[in-house]
Amino acid sequence: MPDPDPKVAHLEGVALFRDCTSRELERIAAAGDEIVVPTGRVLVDQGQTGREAFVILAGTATAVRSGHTIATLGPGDIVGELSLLDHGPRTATVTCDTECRLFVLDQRHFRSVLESVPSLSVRLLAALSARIRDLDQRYYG
Amino acid sequence: MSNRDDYIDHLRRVPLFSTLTNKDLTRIAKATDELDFEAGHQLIAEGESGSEAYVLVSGTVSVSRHGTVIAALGAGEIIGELALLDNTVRAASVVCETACSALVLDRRHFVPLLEDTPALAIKLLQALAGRLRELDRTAFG
Repeated sequence: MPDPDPKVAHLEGVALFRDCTSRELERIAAAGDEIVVPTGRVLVDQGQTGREAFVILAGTATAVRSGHTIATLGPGDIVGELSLLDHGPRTATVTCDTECRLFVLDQRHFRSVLESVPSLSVRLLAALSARIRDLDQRYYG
Repeated sequence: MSNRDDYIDHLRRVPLFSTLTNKDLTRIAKATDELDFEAGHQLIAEGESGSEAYVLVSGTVSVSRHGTVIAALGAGEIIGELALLDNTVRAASVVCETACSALVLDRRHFVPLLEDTPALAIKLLQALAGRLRELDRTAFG
């Protein structure tokens, strides 16, 4: 039997993947790459076209929009999925505050993972809902 | 052409469903009821727990938060999905401005329908991504 993909173990602890079966986790792990990037690396750049989404496995990053810090992101957070979903430009610049370990999915694999792992779509929908609700609250009170 | 084919064609004209296959549309037809509502009918009450989502087939509705109208929505828009996705209370009230016809999806059928119809889940993800992008712009400039 082949050795299990070590990426699976790293994805298991991520809330976004909590409802996934081990088979689904294997499918997700096979669709992406794990990379380590240094402090200061810019993951997504506001206004630019996006080709990847990242899940932070270790480390922290800061999201800045038009010069204002809007969020600090850490393990389990997803970065850059909006541009892959609606093909619009990046809405913020995200820079690593520490060395970060990331799981990276490109556009094509992101889509195929959503098609083959329905529970992930549902969890991602819930995550976007919560963000909409939060912004709604902030803006409309 | 049978009534069922007519109904599938009717669903296909809803923008949210435009890219779905006949099989997907048949699944949606089975999971939803199409109901007519009079002008003035309140579909959703802010602050209450929600048990249904609606896809507006015809007519217009107004969305208000704390008594202030924040949006008018028309045919093809999905309404009330946030409370079903993240299990929290209704973020706004929605009232029919004109006579409306809407597909009603109850909580019990919503997540299974999304899991069985990945293309619908992806369409909905794209719709939420667009809303999030717009809110981001409104809230942060």
